[in-house]
Amino acid sequence: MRRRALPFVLLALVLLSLVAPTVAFAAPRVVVSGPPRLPLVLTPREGGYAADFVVTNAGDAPLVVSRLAIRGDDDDPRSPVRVTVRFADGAGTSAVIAPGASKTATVRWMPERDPRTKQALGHVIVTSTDEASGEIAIGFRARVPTPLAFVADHLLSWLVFLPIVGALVAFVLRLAGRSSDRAMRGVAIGIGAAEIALAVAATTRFAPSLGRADGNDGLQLVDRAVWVRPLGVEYYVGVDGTNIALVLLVALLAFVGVLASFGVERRAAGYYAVFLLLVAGIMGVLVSLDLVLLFASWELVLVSSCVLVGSWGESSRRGIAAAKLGLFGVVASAVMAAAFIALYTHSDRTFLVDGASVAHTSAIPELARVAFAAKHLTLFGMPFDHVVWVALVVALGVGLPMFPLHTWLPDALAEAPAPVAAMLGGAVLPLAPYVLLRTGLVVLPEASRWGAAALVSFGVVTIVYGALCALAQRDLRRILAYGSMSHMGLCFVGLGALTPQGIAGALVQMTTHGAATALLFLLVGALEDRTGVRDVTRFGGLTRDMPRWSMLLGVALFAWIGVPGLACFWGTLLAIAGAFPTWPAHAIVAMLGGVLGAACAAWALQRLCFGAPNEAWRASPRLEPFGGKIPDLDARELACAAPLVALVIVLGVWPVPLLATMATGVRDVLVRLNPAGPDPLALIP
Amino acid sequence: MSEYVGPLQRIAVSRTLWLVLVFPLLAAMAEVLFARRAARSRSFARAEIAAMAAALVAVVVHAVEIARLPADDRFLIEHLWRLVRVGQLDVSLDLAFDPLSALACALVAAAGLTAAIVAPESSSVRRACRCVLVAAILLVVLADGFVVAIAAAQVATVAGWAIARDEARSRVLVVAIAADAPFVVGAVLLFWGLGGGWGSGGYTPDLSPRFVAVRDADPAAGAERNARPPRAIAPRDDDDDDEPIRIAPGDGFLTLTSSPGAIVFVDDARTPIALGDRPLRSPFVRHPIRGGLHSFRVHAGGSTDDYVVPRVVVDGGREIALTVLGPSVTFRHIQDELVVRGERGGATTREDFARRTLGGVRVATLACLLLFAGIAARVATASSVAGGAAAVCLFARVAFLLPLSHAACAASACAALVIAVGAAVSACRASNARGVLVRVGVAQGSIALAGIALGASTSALLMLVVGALALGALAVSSRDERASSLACVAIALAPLPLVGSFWSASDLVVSAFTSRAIATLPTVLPAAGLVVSIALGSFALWRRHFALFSARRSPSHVGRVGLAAFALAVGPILGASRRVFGDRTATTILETWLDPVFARSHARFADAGNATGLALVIALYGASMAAWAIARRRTRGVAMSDDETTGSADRTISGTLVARPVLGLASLVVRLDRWVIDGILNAVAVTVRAFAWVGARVDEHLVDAPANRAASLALRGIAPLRRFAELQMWIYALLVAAFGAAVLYSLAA
Repeated sequence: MRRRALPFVLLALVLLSLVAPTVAFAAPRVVVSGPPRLPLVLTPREGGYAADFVVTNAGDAPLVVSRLAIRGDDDDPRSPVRVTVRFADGAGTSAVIAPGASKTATVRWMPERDPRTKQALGHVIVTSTDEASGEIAIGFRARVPTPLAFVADHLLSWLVFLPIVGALVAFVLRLAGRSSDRAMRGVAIGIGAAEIALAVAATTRFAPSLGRADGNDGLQLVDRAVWVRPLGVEYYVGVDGTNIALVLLVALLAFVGVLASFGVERRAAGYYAVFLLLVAGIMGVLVSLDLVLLFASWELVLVSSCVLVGSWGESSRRGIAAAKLGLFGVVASAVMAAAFIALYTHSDRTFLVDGASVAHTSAIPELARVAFAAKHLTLFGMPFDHVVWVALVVALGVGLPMFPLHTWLPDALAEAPAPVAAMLGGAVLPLAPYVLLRTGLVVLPEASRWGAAALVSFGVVTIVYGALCALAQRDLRRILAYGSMSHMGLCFVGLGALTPQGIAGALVQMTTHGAATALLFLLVGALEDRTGVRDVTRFGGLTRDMPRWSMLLGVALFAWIGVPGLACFWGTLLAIAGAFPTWPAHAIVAMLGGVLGAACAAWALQRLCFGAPNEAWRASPRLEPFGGKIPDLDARELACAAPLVALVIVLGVWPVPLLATMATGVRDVLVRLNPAGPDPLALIP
Repeated sequence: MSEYVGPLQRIAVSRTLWLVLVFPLLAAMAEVLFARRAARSRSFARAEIAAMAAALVAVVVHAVEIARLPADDRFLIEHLWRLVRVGQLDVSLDLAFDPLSALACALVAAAGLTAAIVAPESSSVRRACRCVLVAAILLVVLADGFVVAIAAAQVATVAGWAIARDEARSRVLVVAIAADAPFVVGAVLLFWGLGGGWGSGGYTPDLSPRFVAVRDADPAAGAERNARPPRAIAPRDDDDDDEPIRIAPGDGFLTLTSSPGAIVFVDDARTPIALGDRPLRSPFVRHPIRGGLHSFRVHAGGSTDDYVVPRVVVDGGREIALTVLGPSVTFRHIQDELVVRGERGGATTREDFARRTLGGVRVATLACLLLFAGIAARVATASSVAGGAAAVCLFARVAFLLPLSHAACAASACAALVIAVGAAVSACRASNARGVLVRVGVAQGSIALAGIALGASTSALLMLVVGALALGALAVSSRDERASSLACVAIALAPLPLVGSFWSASDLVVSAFTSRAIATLPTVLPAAGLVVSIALGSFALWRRHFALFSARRSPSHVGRVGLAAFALAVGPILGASRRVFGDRTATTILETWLDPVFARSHARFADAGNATGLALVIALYGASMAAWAIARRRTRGVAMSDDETTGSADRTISGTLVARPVLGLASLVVRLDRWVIDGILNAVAVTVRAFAWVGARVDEHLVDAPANRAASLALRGIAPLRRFAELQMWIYALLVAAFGAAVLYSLAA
């Protein structure tokens, strides 16, 4: 009975924590008011977009409004160009308001006829003689109208919440006793397809050339609302050049993963539900621009991964694998939470999206404006930003995974069902370097420069160590797991390079490695389904029985090791070339580590596909229905592999779309990392 | 603004170079797409031959096209598409076709055609791979930059791997990939070294402008060129009419061939320079522009800043080229950068680059050595003659860097000669004809590399052509044909008087003796190395031939005889000159053809005198004839099978008085090869495996064990974890519902 009460207690705790009292503000002399719901929504008017708000003098003496202005300046344009604010009666941006009187002001956004910027976000700042009020802000937002605005204006939110809706549907069906595997498959595949459609729509609406200089913090498709007002926590999602490609990749992998999961028969409805939660968590991590939201999404990824590995794992070791994943994840989460809390508590006063003033913020773009290093804070006797940066690297080093925090990965990838392994290897691993870029590099640039050597060194050690461990394996999944670890080390090398090539290389590597790794796990899963074996040495000459599988495996393995003409080549090249000027020795060792990885892949390919076939399989009872032959990929498996193969080939031959998408994002990161000065100018594109 | 002068590489824009590559690729696609039909039909094999022939024809047509251009303009370029533009790393799939490319492409396409005819493949997949191999090697020699060349070389490696039948191919693949590592490092070092230097504070980039305006150093030389109507070499659309571009009196010309796709704004114009109603995009050459003082703004795109070139004086009738300074991976840009000088005597990239060091070693030396190491490894591990030839041509392509470092020249030449001698000695001990041919091929490639390092690029390439003609056809034949064709190869490669490789070999030896490129190294060493390697290679070929066919007549084959005759004739046709008789001013056809490529390589030679030259030629000729005579006398009549079991024949040969030292040396080298070179490789492999094993054990027992222990404890001790693992659905349902409700509530609030 007590156990049964546990979920209700948890539920009550969650609700209570969120239903916090609002802070009572003292009545100010200046009252800025608008529509009942803020921020102001600019509506089409006079060839642009506009909205009115009222400034009221609630005091008993004349109030001088010295300045109405859009928040931001030339160096830090928070809003797009051509956003103006002035009093409606022609008084300009200043006015004297009699006691008890009001004046109406208008915010206007006059975008160009064919605007690249599809939305405007920002604050109007009202500065007056009332010192008690200080600066008062009112938030505004505007969107260029689009068809199906209900969906198109909230693409990222749909991307995050649609899988959760799918999971809820599964649970509701299950609780109602009406769940069937077939129905749940239908729901999951529908949501997977919708995810792709939404991601494609988001990519199409994304303007690659927009950067921080164009306002909105360089972010696009932004959804922002106050979540927990007393704490200054917001629901804040958006994309820029650093994450839009990953969003598309995750949507593709989600669809492919659902399609590949048709073979799951045990408790399929639950499986799909948790799988969709995993997708939602990954999407959440990618698009979150608030530390709390990011952390919540990270935890969702962790929990759903643990459940998937533990409940639908392949062998008796799945419990251990799930527990290891959980333990590592919990420790990493604790460290990450500590780092996030430290950043939050030392942030500066700012405004929420509706203009409410808060003492602290967890919004990443706002945190990026805080000069943590200049505050000369210390923690444990060390500079504050250094300690926080190290905590972030440790926490995210578990997720990468970085040596020596990697041991959860081989077990998890070996035990997880193939589609889950594809998601873990292809979509979850890139999250760590991405979050490091989003938080560590952008929020703590000075600390990043300080710790770059360590980052690159750990990256190189991870590359070589992972490749060596992969060479010693015979289990295909473990080879891929250690190889993935090795390849992800390259992301740390690229990020630590602090050059445009290095950071672009890391981002490209996250995307392309994700596609190639997912493809490999799906192919290995297909072989495992047929034979129940993953030991490389027990195969040979598979090209005869499985020519299609062999060809795709060759493509995937060659892409994985970075052979030119296939996608991963560019990430490897850029990361190593980018690291060379600052860390030449590291870059050379990283390259040699890549050769070790190539040796491993070549050995595996040779053993699997060429040479004499293992005749023992002819007598295997598992293959009796197929006449002693290992059957080749069927249509569904080919359909799963086809988009990934196309992706690795197209991006290998023509990487421009990927690089062009992320170019401005990389540039903005670089500007943040290398502030204008005499030396690093030539490194900035 | 300081202005720059220099003889930039002049180019003409082509729109048809892609045809050279597309035919083999189309054939490969057809083989893959219609694999089932291709496996049954012989017409696909004919299609492969047709594709190779078409590629060869395309090469010849373009060679004729550049031959019709003035010597300085013999450089076609075609921009296909952009690959990467991140920071200053600008990589495009550009094809460059100059006399060197023409020679190499013809060689590769001819080798592909010969292989398709002589050794038809029955498997459609293998035919497809061979087509891809040829296309990739063609791309290696057509590439205008390091990245594309490396990429193409690796694709060729993978294609060669797919064609190979033996079990060792994975090892070859890994060795080839490892061999590319120094080349990549060399290219990256060069890239960054051109744009900055390493000091105690790490890397410091230059603050020089990215784009500069360069005018021709010699106005008189440019006058004739500028008098030509620009439409002859300007890019034209298919739908453009043939009307020449109008040039007003006082107009100058603007050229931009960097940053493909870039557009240029003149002064404060809001619209870029246009051709008709469309913006004129790089690369373009000699676009008329009003004379006077201008500033140019280059908009390269790819979210890079615009580059401004201020205050450029455009004189009437003269050409101004906007070109890049600083990091580049494009051969042409780097070459241009190294010849550009400040008009008022300002510092140049060449001088800056030559001074830069990394770890106490000059960057130029390091870069050259790394590039050489990568290429030499490619030559030594090439899976095809065409691949080896392409690698040598790649070295010739970057030979303009060698004058920056005498140490690199000397080290490269010595290393190449050591490889050549080792390969030739190893050929003497090879147990079958294929082994002899492969090793002799490696020796030839290495000799060519040494020749390029010594500054005798043309002779080196001529030797490569003659050797490749002979080896390329025979290496792909069946076993019997291969064995019976040794004589053809031997005749072609032995420096018999006036035919075959005589001209190239003799010129190489004389050049080696008189080269000033290798600074303090005694020139007698490379000269002696060349003589020894050539003579030993000749001995190996003759010995195998006489041992195999002394008792029976070699089967004749019209194609083989024709090829041998062609190989014999090519040497004198391309390389005959009076130089060997003392006229140092004489030039050969090949030298004339390749002069625009190597004119800026600054190779310098001493005048050794006619007597010395003649003595060197006689020494070479004598050594080769002696090799032939010894091989003939000592091995004729000795039964020697063309397989691994050659013990009896070798013992008989070993018993001969004269051959003993050679074979002793061969044994030594083979042992060296087996126990040292191969041993190092095996030891590395074993060591790596051992490290891998140790690493895995460490991982399992030290790194992973605590985690496993903790996980077990957690599983046993924390019961709720089991509940989570077993998935009590309703718990999650409630939690998710609570979370959703909380989110909705807070949003609504």
